[in-house]
Amino acid sequence: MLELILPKTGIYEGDVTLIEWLVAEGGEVAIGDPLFLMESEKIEMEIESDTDGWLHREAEAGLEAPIGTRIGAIAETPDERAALCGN
Amino acid sequence: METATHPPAAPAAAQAGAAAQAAADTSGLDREVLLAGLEMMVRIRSFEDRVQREFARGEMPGFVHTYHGAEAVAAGVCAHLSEDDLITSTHRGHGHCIAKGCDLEAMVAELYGRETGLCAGRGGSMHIADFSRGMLGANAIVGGGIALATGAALAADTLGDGRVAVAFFGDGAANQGVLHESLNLAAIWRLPVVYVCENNGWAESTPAGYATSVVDVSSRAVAYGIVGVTVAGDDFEAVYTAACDAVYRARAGEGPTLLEAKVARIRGHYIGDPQQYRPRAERQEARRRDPVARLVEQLGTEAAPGRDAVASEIDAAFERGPRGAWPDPGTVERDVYAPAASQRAPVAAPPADREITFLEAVHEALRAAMAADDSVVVLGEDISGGGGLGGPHEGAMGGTFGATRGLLEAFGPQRVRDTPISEAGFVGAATGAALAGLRPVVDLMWASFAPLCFDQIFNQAAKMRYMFGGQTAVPLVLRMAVGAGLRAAGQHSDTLYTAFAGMPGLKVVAPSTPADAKGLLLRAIADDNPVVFLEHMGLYRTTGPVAAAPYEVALGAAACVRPGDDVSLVAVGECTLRALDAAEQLAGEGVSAEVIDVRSIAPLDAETICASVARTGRAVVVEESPRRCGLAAEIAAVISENTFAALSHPVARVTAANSPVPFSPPLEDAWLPTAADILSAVRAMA
Repeated sequence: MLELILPKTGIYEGDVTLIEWLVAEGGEVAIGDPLFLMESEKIEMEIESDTDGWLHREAEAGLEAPIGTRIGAIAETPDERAALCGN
Repeated sequence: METATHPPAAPAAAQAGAAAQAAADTSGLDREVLLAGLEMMVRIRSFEDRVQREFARGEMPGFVHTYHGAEAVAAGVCAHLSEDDLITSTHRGHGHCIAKGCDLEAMVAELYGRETGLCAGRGGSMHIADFSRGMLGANAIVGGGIALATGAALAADTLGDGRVAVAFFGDGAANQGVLHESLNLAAIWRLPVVYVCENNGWAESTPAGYATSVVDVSSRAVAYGIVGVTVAGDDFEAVYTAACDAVYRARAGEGPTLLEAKVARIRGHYIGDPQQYRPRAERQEARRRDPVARLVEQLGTEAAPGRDAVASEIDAAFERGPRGAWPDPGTVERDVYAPAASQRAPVAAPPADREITFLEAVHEALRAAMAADDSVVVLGEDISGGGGLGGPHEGAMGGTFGATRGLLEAFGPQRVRDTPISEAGFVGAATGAALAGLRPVVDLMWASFAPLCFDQIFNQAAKMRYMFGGQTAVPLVLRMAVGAGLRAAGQHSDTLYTAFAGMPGLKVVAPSTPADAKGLLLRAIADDNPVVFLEHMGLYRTTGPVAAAPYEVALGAAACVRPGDDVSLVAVGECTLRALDAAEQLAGEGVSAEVIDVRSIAPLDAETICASVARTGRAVVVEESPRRCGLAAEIAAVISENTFAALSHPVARVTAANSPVPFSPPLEDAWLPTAADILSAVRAMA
């Protein structure tokens, strides 16, 4: 499992915003696939997956939070993803 | 990709026998070589993956460029280097550090800005260095390391110690002039250097296909008469083999190679780069050109050897590195200069035993320094003249003003090198040579030419000691002629005092007498810091008493050259003569003027200057640069801050006009500060 966080993407170190998820809960993703849109310093950018797996979302679009805040995870298997959901 | 060679490789039989043998030895590499290469590549990749992950969390300051996709280049090239060999690197330099053997924990600590980092937190990712491993620094100036590696090779060649230098750079640097100057220098001097272009197809957001006029950067080698080779940079075996040839060529005295490795930039320019400028298909294609995956597949191995050991090594580095202590804010000015404690006291001057000119004094200093220390070399344009012609022609020029005449005959062409007109190239090379064991004295002709090599002076020579946490000294002297009055006009007359003195890390000296010229130059050459030595053209023919034996005058010490009680004339360089002239005239009017010769602009001897002004209560600062933001403004501020209560009048400035130096004699005479201007300033204080 790879933890998903709101990442630092440059010199800016203030709060950032999760604009929109680009993959549904439980969706299968490959390395390089866009996962979510994030706004940092008024610039929107797509954050891509660093790994292959299944997405688990833990934060809602619109969340404004410090860099490093956990917003979800990429599970290695569908079962692991299901376990993350608690069902 | 096939390997391309520029010019086309000669048939094997026609190559130098040993070189052909070396190449033959690497065809069909031993599995052990490949496995060792893979382990290094995995170490680099794992480190960069971890950097990427940790950076995203937000606790690593600044920004970071990772080496993803080029692992085979650092691993394949550095496999041929010993700890003594020297490399220069780029803003994307972690891979070079690791392949050269840098300590991972100290690297991590540096990325987090900790005192325990390789550079004590002064450099960070883009200026990371480890001189104990021959890693002469990442460089945040694109192309900034190229001339430095050329100079490191110059040092190796001059000292004959068998070391090789490697300059790593990207395709963006392929279009920097300093690369071309350096290739030419290394070619004419057949230096033991390898230029490794990691062509990832992107200069930040600009594609190489747009910005570079040729497909293969290596084809530019043809223009310099050296070997150029292009290999697939994701193919460890190809890189290893080509680097073997290139390093062998360098070590064998066969000169430089331009080795281009075509790699894929698997990630963005920096971590977090959204890469909107980059087509998705091209990015997917880049991910497929993964050198680590390729070598794993080639070896048919499940896991890289030592993968677990590498993983725990990296875990340990990231566990401990970020917990290193922060630097003490009170040390912000530490390591700007090599400490005085590391240097012996100046050699005292014996009594002056004859009169010589300022120019002869400069020459005597150079000759004495070269005779006393084999590591002292001089280089510059036309310092000998007639290069390669021999007979009565070679050495006949002896410098624009004749200061270096006779040195070639006395010390030989290895230590007295005429340079092409390539200021960035040879000043950068001198800086690199200063990092690698020489004490170069560069003749830059005129200070007005310094802007051609400002990067080398400002970003490289001046900052290196500080950025690298005090790891290195930069014992370099840059001699330049300055000053107006000789009808040389706008581009041969600048003093640029504040341009140099405003750069922390540089020392700046401007003597006004033959005795000081000799003593200060000898001291400058003995100093472990870069010293800008400014010789006013109007002084070259002046004469004065000078001891024949070598001696030194301390840097950072002003001199009272005429005592007085009523006003302090604080003068710089040749203006000291005008101040003395004014003081003599003032004496006739019953005004006792003290004249302070500043001598050393950086560091400035505020104590001597302020002690004089505190006693006289009046100060006129006299110096030859345009008034706006000139040196006089700085000295006047220092005087005002320290002696305000003693001042009976505001500090006056006598300077040049706020214009470039004009040509026409009446205009140039009006531009210059004069004794009459000084008299007016003093009389206004009555």
